[in-house]
Amino acid sequence: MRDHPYQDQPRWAFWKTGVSQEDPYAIEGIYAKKFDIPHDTKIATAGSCFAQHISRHLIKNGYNVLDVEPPPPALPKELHGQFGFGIYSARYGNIYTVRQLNQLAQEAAGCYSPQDYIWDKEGRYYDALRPAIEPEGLDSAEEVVEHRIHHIERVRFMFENLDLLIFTLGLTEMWVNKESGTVYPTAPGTLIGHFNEDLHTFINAQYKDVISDFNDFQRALKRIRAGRPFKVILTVSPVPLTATASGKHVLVSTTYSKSTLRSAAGLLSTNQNHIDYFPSFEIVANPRLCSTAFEDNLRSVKDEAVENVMKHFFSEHPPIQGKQDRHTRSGRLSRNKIETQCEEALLEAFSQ
Amino acid sequence: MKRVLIVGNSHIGALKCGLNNKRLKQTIDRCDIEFDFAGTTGAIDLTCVDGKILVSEESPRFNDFILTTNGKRSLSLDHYDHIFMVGLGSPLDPRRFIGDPLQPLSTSIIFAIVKQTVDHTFSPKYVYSSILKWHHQISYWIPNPCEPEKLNLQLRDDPDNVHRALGRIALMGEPCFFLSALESPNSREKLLVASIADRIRKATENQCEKMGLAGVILPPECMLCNHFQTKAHYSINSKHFCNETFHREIDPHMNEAYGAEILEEIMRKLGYETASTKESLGSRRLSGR
Repeated sequence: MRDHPYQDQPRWAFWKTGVSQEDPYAIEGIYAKKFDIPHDTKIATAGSCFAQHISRHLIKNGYNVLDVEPPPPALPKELHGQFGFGIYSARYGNIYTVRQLNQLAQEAAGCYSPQDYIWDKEGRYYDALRPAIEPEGLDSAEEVVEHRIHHIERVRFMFENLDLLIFTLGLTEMWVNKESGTVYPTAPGTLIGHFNEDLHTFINAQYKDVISDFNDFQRALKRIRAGRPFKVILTVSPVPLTATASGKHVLVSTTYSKSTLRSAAGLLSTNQNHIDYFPSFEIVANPRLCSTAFEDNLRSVKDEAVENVMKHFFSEHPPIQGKQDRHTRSGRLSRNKIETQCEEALLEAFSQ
Repeated sequence: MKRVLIVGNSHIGALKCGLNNKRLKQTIDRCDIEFDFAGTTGAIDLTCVDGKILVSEESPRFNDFILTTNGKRSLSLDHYDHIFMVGLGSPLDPRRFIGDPLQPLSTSIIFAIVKQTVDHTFSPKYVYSSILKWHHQISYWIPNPCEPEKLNLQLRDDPDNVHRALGRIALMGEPCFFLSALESPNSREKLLVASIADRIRKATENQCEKMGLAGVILPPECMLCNHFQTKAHYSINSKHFCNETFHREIDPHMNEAYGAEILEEIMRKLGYETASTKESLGSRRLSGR
């Protein structure tokens, strides 16, 4: 008979032994997998900038990460990332919000057509829903449409064929088209396009919105897959907001955003058996590290911190033996210093 | 008289054979133009020293060189008004662009790939960059021919040849992977390939200009099928350096008809009016696009 409910709790249930006195590079009990990832599992990756690290490390460790939009054979490897090849399972660029993910799935399911998504800059045309994958834009608006049709066909193929989606939740703040509700990954006028107060509006998703958007996304996915089951691993990006449009201090906004996403991921993974949560946010934000996981800008996560995160992931999902380092055709592992493609970080240029 | 030197890899064989074309011969005589040739397999061991093109007598490719130069042991670039460099790769190789599945490509991506092809050819390890540095002549590039449309595969027992053929060319009339799009009744895919082919040509011309070349001789589209393949008419009985039928059946080399067409292109590029130009001026230029 226990004297009280904390009596038999493991050492990691206590802050002192689980955090203060614990090795932050080998945190016992911080992640217990909900399900295995067999070696032949077809994994799709998506999410905010931090998801790029997860995708890269999965490939490095032999996992079968889908690449449904591979680069042209002769495109120099050093340019793959610049054109959005090999970063995620398709060329959708960063998907910062759950609403953006849902919008993509609805479009792939044929239930939604984005509006006002062709933006221009200096005579070049861009897909505003993935503005960074063609840094110099395309020749015409018609070409943007042609490229998007192909992209959505491939995304649909990815959704049809994946067994597991690993999605990193990044932001709650987003910019949308007032009339159509089309969600953009970047604010109009920052990277490309033109901001119009009558046309564009700011939304900061609430907890219930994130839950609702994710469940809508899952329904679209089921429709595309004709009901075939799938699994999901959710993570929350530890990368703070570069800037906020909420009217509140960026630190307050970052805490709101991350805690909202963390709570939503918690509820989804607790209540749905096919969804697991991996605590990348907690491993990086661990106070034991005193913010040393971040670069000097206190925003970008250091490579060694990413390694630490993935070490904890692979402690539960071991590397696929005999397949490590093989899937390097996209040049994803060829650089010593890995640079992520992150449009949101460009907002820093607007700071006073 | 204009003196033209064609220098490069084994594909100069077909061009040299083009001189045997009677109609072209008359045009060449009338225009008072003289062609010389110099090459080795893969343009290997070919060097440019003090403005002279030569190959070491110790090189196993020295005989190639002697055959193509008709016995001359070196050729002085200063002797020529124009230099045409043949090889090494071809920007029109669809395998470099069209992956599986076929995808639309932006102009930026096409330019990046073409730049890589041109940079490779004119990298310091090949003679072409040395020739370009010799500023006295106006230089042009003649990329390798596009792969032949189809060939009979007689050497089926040779795994290397089979592997090579399967990856590159239509075999016994069956389309290979990158041509499946063109075999498809889907006009969207056909338009996509046409658009890519068109922009590859523009990108190649643009990149050659940036490299300091006076121009590039890409095969006229009337010689091609499927945008990226040389019609069989230009590859049957293909020729190597020594004006003999090339010894392998699976072969990317071309024949006299190809050589004559390219020599005519060269003459047109240099401002000469050729017989076929008179006959089909307009249709040749306009029908391809």
